[in-house]
Amino acid sequence: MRDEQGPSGSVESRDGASRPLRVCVDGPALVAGAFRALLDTLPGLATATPATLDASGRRTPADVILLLATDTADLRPLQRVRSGYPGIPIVWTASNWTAAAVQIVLQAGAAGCLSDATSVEEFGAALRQAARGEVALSTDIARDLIDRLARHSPEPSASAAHLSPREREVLLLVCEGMSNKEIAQRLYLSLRTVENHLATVYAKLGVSSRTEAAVLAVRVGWTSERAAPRGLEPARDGYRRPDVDRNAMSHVR
Amino acid sequence: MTGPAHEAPEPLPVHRTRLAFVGTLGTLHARARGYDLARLRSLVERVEPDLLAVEADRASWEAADTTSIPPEVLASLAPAARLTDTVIVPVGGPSGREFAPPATGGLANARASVIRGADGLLDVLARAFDSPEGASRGLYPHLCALLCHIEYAAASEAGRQAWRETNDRILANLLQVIRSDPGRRVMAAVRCRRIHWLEARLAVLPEVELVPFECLTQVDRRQLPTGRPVEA
Repeated sequence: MRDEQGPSGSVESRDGASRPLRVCVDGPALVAGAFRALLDTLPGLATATPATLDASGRRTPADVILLLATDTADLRPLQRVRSGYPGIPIVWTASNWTAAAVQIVLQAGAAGCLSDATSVEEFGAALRQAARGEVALSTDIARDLIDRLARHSPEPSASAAHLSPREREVLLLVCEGMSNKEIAQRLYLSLRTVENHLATVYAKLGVSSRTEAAVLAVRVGWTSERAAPRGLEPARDGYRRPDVDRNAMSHVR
Repeated sequence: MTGPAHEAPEPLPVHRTRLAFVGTLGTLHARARGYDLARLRSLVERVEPDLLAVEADRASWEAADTTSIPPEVLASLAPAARLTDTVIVPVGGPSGREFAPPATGGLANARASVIRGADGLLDVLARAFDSPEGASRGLYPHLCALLCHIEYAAASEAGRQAWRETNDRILANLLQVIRSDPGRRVMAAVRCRRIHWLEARLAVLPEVELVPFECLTQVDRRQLPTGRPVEA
């Protein structure tokens, strides 16, 4: 059972005594030393080795481990620390986070990701958060993740506005069950351009397949705007004549 | 005191469209003539361009009015496109009587004879160069262009006007194709007598690179930049 944190960020142990949050810093000696010196200046925090002997001689593990590793794509330092000190929350600090790297690192068991744009106070707060069992992220990383989530949200009304007229036209033809080649022939675009449009549509709608995109379009009611049939369309049995609706074509041409 | 020299901004990169012309010999003016369509078809299947501009009236194409679509498009180019990833784009339009001789006036008969003679010579030459390669490069296009100039000079004003209007429409439609989907490999299959006229106008455009049709092969496709999606 974890000790409870007091209002100052210090930890209140089970015997009621208040003690500072013990932070173990793992990383290159010089950088780790600088971080230890920095953390020691913060109230309610104290640097420690992973297992420090307290006044009564008991081994008291660190409350949180601060991992300093520059290559966020290399998970070996995280795995090493996790296996060496199981159960202790690990906060990884680096300078080159990407949204994908944050996701992978959190899935690999880290309790938080901090960037070098983090202020000293934010650092202390994040470490306390991690010690409480919460996910700790720097403000800039959190903001980036939220932006990406918002962009990929399948919220139809918001996403519809982001589709260009051409992308919307391609999506409508997908809803009609057309293959990419048929769409290309209908719009007089190359197959690769249609594929590019579709990839953009998927990204904007936050879907990964034409079926998902079509389902979303149908659910939202975009399919009520039908694209006009046009041209001799390639079909399995040769070129077929579409049912030409001149009124429907007027908005496309 | 002078400030730092300001360099001229570099021109923005342009996705150049590779465009190759293939001469078709299926019609001489409005008259259909015997023509080896299998070679044209195999050429399209071999090159497999991204877009194949054909000399068909867009309205007829969209209405699937096969009576107005040239036989080489129906029998050769469209089936080839269907078997590949190539997309057909009709760039033609309804045309009047191109190079129609004058009905009346001085030297009307002589001018009509010149046009008939040039047509006859073109027919003979087309039989001699009866292949997409022969119709698109080498001696034939030059002879074709020369005879075309002669016919143009001998034609009535209405015949010249019809020729110019049809060419202008094809040029405008080709440019629309190029600009709405830049950076693609476009093959334009048009009557070979138009090629010199169209090439002269397209050669000066920075977004167009005129190439022989062998340069549009699939191997080359991988080396081309990915075209950016463009709003039409």
